[in-house]
Amino acid sequence: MMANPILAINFRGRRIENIHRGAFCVVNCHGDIEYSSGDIGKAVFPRSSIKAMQALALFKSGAVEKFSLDDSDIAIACSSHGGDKQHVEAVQVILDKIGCLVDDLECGEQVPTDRAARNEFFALKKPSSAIFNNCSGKHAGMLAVAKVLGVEAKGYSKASHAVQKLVKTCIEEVIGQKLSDKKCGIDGCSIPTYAAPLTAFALGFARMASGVDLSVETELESKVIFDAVVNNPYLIRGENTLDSDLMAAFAGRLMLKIGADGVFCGALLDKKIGFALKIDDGDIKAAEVAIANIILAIAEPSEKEKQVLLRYVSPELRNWSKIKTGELVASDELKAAFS
Amino acid sequence: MVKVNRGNWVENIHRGAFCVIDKNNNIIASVGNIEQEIFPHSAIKPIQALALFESGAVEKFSLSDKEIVLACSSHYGENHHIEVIEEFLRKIECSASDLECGTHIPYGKQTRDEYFLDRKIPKSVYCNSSGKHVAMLAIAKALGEKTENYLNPSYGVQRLVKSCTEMLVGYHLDDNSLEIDNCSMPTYAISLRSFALAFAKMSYGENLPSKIKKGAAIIFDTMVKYPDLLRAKEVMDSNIMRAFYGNLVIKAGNDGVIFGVLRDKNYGIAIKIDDGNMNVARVVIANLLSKLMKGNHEMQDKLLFLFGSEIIKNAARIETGKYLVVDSVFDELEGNLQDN
Repeated sequence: MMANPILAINFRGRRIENIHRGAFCVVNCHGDIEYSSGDIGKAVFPRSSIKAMQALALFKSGAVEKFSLDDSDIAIACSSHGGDKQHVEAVQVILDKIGCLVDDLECGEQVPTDRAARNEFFALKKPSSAIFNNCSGKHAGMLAVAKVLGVEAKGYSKASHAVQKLVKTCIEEVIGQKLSDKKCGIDGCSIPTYAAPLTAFALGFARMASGVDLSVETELESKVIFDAVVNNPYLIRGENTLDSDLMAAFAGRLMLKIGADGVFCGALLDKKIGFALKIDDGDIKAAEVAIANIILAIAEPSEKEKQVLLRYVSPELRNWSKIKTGELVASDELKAAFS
Repeated sequence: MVKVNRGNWVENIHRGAFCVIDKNNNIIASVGNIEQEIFPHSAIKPIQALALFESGAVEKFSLSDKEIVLACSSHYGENHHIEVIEEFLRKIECSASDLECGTHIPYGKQTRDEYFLDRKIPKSVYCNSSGKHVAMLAIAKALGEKTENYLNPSYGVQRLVKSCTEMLVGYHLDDNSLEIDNCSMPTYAISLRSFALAFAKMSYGENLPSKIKKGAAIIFDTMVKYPDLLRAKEVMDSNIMRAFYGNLVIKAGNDGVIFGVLRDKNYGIAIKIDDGNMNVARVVIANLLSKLMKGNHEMQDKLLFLFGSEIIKNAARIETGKYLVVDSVFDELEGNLQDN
C-alpha cells in the first residue's frame, strides 16, 4: 500500500516533531478533479463534515414547512457547535418548536468544546447535558424529521429507523452513489456514518453549490441550507474557530465544515467547486492547517479574506507558559499539488 | 503500525517506530527508523532525575521515595500527588511561585473539577510536570545556585541534567538539537535507539559512576513501588507496571513517546508514533510487551486482554470502534525475536 503524502508537519523549534499524512481533492460540479493529493478513491468516514447533506432530510420530510424552521434553525442543524449560550439557545428553539425535550436527544452528554463555555461549565458545576453535545442541533433536527414522518421518535439514531433511512438517501442523491452497510460505523453522536471516497463527498458539495445534476427541489433546498450556514457562521462552530472565522471572512462565498478525526468538506460557492480532506491519523489541528492552505491556494482570497486565512495557515504552538515552542505548517507536498 | 476501526471499516491509520535494545546496544527488536532523532518529552524524566543524586540533593534534603517518584512523574494532580509536591516544596524551602513550568487543566476528570474549585492550591502545582520542576529547584539549591531562571540551558541545573543525559545516551549533545519543552525545560532531540540504550544502561548499572548507578537503581525501584504516583490511579501505565511485579518500568512522554525497561533482561524500550498520538503509543507498548513475553502465555494473555486493543466509546457510551495493531508488523517482530 502506497502511503499518503505528508500534508502537515509539527515543528518543535527547527526540528520536525510530528508528521501527518492524508489525502484531499478539489473537484468541479461535473466531478472533474482540479487538484488532488494522496489516495482520494479510498472510502473515509465523513463524520460531521456532511451535516449540510444530512440536513436535506429536514426538507424532504416536510419538517421545514411544518415547524416553520428558519435559517438559524437550519444552521444549528448543520453545526458542530461549541456549546456556548447562543448555540444552546438555538438548539432549544428547535426543541420548543417541535415539542421535544433535551432528554429526547440521543447524541449523548458532552462537555462544551468552546473554551469559555467549558470553563463556565466546570466552574459553575453545571449538570452535564446532551444539549452541550456539539451535534445536538443536528439531533434536534432529526427529532423534527421523526415527528413530521409520524413515526416513534425514540430510536431515531438507529440505522434501521425511518429518519436515518431518509438521511441516507439524501446523502446518496447528492454524492451520486450508494452508501454501503459494509462501510458503516456508529458516529460519535450515535447515528450511523457511512464511508465513501473523498471524491464523492467533494462532488456532493460541488453539486449542492451549483445545483448541477440535482433535482430542482434538491437544488433549491441545497441553496437554502448553504445560505443558512454561510450567513450564520458563528452558529456552525463558534468563537475563534476556523470554520466560523473563515466563513465570516469570506462573507457568503465559502461553505466549510469540519468532521471529527481529521476531515473537512466544503465548497466555494462562486466558483462552484467542492473539496474534501482526510488526515490519515485523525489529527484535527493538522486538518485545519491543511484545509487553510488548500483554501488559500484555490479561493483567490481578497486581502481581507487573506488576513483571516493567515491566522490558520501556520499557527504557532505555545507551551504551558505561553512560550512559543514551534509551529504547525503545511508540507511542501501539499503545496506542490497546486503548482 | 496501528489501525483504528469504526464499525466494519478503517477510520485512522498510525505509523511509527520502536526498538528494544540490550545493555550492549544490540538490537533485540526494531520496527521503522530507530535512528531518527525525536524529542522525548516526559519520557526522559527518569534520566533527568539522576541529577537529584549527582547534585547531592537527595542526601541534602533527605528526599523520600515518593518525592523521587514525583520527580519522574507526569501526574494528574490527584490529592496524593499534590500532598507529596507540597511537602517536597516545604522541605527545600521553596514555594509554588518558584515553579516555572506553567500550568494546564489537569488530565483526570475528578482533578479537573477540583482545579476549577478554589482550593487555595496554586495552579502551577497541578501542572503534570510540577514534580520534576520541584526537583530542579532542589538541584539548584544543592548546587548552591539561585533558583531563579533554573530553566536556562546555561545554568548549573540544566548543565548537570544534560551531562547525566549525555552519560547515558553515550554522546555529546549540542545546541543544534536543543529546543523548548512544553514545561519550558530545555529538551534535546536524540535518536530513539539511544534512548532505549540509556534505559538499558540505567537498568544494568555496571560501568556507570557509583552515584549514578545507585541513583538509577533507586529511581526504578521507587517507580515500580509507587506506579500510581507516576501518572494516576488505575490508568494503563500504572496497571501495566503492576502486572509485571516490579520487572517493568514504563514512562510516557507527550507526542506519542513511551520509554521503558524490562529489568531482568536489561532491555531498554523506546516508541515514537509519527503523528504524536498517545493512545496509539499505549496500544503499541502493550502489544510489544506481549511479544517480548514469548513463552509466558499467561502473561501474554493478560497483557492483550487488559491493554491489547483499546475499545473506543462515544458520548453516549456506545462502542464505536477499536484500536487494532497491524499484524504484519508484530508478526515480523515475533519472527525476529526467535533468532535471539
